[in-house]
Amino acid sequence: MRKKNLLISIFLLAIGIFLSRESFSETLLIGVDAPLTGTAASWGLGQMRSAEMRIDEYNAKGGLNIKGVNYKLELVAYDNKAQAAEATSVAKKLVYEKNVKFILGAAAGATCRGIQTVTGPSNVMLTMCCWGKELLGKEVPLNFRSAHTPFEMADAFMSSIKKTHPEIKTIAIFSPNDTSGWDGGKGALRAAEKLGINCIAEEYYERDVTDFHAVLTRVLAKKPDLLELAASAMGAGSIILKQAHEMGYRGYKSWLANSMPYGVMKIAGAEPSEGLYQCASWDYFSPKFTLPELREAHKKYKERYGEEWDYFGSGNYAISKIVIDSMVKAQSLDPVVVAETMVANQPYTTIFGPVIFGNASVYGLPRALMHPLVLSQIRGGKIVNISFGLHPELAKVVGDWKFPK
Amino acid sequence: MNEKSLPRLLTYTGLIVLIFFSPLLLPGYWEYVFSLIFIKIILCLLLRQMMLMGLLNLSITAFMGIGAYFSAVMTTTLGMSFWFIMPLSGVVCLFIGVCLSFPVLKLKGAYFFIGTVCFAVAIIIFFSNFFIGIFGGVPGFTPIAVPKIKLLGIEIKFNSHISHYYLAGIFMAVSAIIIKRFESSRYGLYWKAISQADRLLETIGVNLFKYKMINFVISCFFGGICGSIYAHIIGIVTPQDFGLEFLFILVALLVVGGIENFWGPIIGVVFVSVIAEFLRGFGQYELIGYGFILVLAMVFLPKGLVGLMEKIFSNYKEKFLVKK
Amino acid sequence: MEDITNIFFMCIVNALMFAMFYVLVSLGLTLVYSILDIVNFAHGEFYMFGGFTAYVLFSKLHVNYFLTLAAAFLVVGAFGVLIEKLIFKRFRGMILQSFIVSLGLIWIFRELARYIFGHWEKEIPVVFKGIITVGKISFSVERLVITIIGFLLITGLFLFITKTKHGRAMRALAQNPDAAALQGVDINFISALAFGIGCGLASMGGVLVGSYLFVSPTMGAHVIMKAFIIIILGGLGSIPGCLLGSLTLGLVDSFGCAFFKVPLVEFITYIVIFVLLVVRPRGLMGHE
Repeated sequence: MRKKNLLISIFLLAIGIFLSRESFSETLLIGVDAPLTGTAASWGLGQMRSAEMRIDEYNAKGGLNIKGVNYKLELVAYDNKAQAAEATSVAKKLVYEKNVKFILGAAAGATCRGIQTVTGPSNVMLTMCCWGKELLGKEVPLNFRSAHTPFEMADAFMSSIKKTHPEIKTIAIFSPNDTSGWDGGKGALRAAEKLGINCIAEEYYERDVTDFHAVLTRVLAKKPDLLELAASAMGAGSIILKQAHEMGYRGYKSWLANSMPYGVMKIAGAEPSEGLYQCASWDYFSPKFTLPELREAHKKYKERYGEEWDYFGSGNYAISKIVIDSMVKAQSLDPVVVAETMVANQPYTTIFGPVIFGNASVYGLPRALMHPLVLSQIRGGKIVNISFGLHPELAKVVGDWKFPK
Repeated sequence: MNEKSLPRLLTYTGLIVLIFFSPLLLPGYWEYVFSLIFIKIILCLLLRQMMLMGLLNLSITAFMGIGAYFSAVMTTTLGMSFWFIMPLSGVVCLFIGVCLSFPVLKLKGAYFFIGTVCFAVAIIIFFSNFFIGIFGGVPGFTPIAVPKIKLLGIEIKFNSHISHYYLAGIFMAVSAIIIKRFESSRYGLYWKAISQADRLLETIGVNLFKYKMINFVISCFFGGICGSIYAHIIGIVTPQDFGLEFLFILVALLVVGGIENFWGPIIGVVFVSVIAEFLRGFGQYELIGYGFILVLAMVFLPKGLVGLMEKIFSNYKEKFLVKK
Repeated sequence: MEDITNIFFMCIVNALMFAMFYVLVSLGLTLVYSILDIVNFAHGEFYMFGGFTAYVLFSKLHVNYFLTLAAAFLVVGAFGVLIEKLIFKRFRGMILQSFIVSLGLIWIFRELARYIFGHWEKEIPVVFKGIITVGKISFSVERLVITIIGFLLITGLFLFITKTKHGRAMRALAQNPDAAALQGVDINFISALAFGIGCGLASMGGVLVGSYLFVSPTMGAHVIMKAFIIIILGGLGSIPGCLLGSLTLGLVDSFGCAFFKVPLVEFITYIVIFVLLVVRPRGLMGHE
């Protein structure tokens, strides 16, 4: 009889402890609406995994404490297969079924336009790497971009190249025929024209084209000084370099928005990629012009997921820390309040160095993440980080910041 | 009333009541899911209608795209009323379908399949690259005007999930009835005959082309209206949304449901779409789960879900009758 | 004037090499479609597996390149036979069902490859290095090798189909399965063999193209639709038709891109194919 009573009391105590633990901890859902399969998975998975890594970091430290309630973070990531209609459906599922207030991770331009038709009216915060001028601004004040687009980096990129090689007079631009591709191509074009470089070819190719010989025949006949790959994917861009080299092109090469540097030399070959300038890809593991935090983060990602991290994914990693820290600082889970806090407390120190949310002159509101831009070049089959620069708006705030030696 | 029509009447009434009152039970997001299901049901019914003639019409999403873009541009850029433009989208697609039917209906089997695919891909390339100022190009066309209606002096806006549900639902009910009537009529008979013995029909003087064209043009018309409603429910139209991926999924939904029965597409779409919603929770593994479902469904249910249900009912009937 | 001649010849060379690339992918497909009467949309995934076989054997384990080619043919071919026996066997003659099943297989294979190898594009070191320049036209030795091997494969397959016992059995099966069975053809064996050879050919294509381009889980997606269009345009079951279809596509692409931008060329390509189909509703070399 006594034994039975003892067992019952232990049982009830256990339930009590279990229940009381639950009541001190609520779940905060963080959504991701990105292409997790297909060709665009290269960016979508980067977005999702960066959110996942961040969430695990915060949960390991005990979660968030907002207004006395303990929150455990949980990731809800759905695959939108890089289609706008699917992205919209997924956004509706996140916002209306799961009551998600923060979607921290989205990629592939047209899908974001679909997502914001849902998040805009519902006051849900969206951080993304998608390109497109209309994705930020007064009509969507809770949209933040986590990485550079041509509006933030094309001018600096082109002027460094032109300064090093003033003899460049003509440029040929190759970019995929979709939203990011158009943005990349137009961005490179704008930057080049500002410097007096004449664009002799602006080629937009379908993403599944692998044979560029026919197009190159036409373009290379016009003898461009600089071959610019804009928003080409790592594989396609490397192929263009290889085939151009094969057809006799020996001019200068640049790639505004490659997000994965490590495969280029291998796929294109050492010679065809020699001298290639990049600014969204640099050697993330080299001690030159990187912070130890960046190298750490890339190492962590590689150990956990077994492959390299793209630039845009690391951007999402940086911005999600800012978002979550702002939640704690503002002691609020209201996206509007968190957004105000984010904008009010800049600059931030991140894995990239100091960042601000800026470029209001382009978008209308300061929502684009801007960090020190690193210029890299492929020399002798290796990526070398050559120099870095600060966007004028960033320089105004952090002035003479430099990478540690 | 004879013994067949009473249960059938009860089934139809039951279904209509279920569809009408479901929103009381369904959470908001599921109303949206079902509004898309309704549209997919129509598209699959149209696919099946062409299959009665033995033709796999892969241009249907292209016509849906044409209807969607037409409706989006007309209502948003030109400010015209949705209620006027929606049927007009169908008419526009009908005309394009008539023009297309002259070359394309000469083809049969695999050649028809590729011919319609070529048309479908050409339409996507068209909307991606030409007249970007009007259609928006690859980034798509958004925002899209919200349909409004004035009832008894009150303006009702169709921008909520429940309004989309009823809009799609009513359209589905009406179209399904029309499609069923066509199938049960003389036209349906001719269509089925075309798939089996078209040479024979020609010898007895039947104008094959006329019947093929009527079938094709019906799918274009309803496909166009589907596109129009789809555009206003989703709120964004991009060329890729009407591409081969969506098309192949529709074919899969149809085949998994069962081609031979009219209810096949309906059951297939509802069943698989609901399962797909739960599969989403697997994130990056959703697609591989979908793949397994398709393979398993085909291997174990070659006649589709309808085939399975028929087997169950016939077993049940057997047991029931035997017991008696 | 010299410039135009140069461009003209460059276009011809480009067209030929472009065509050979697609021949590698579509040769096996026309075999499978005509003999087994099924639509295997997952054909591109066997091409992809061939590429990854080369990545594993050649890039990582440094096995001899020609051994890798043979290994890819055998390994992926054997895998194809397995898939045929497990899955496609019951769908012989059922176009729609085989199509849907292959759609499911596509996703399974692609995601499996992505899970194992990751989503970044992988390289295969160039074996046939060097660039050949003839006058003002230059192309890489690699492309020349692919073209030559493409021709060899077409010839090899053609000889196999016409001269060998199994090849003739396959043709018999393609023409009339019942009559073939009456003649003593083992339908199960021949079907599995045909499917295996088809997949093996595709995988060899993957190995060759892998070093010329790259290897990725989605590389099959880029080629499968065009491959289907080629085999149907050329006429189902016709090997010369496959070549002709590829050449047509190559010529339109090559000369088109010399004058117009890529999206317009793509648009024109599909219109041209559509017109050709309407004019020759049984394919370019199909029989009525």
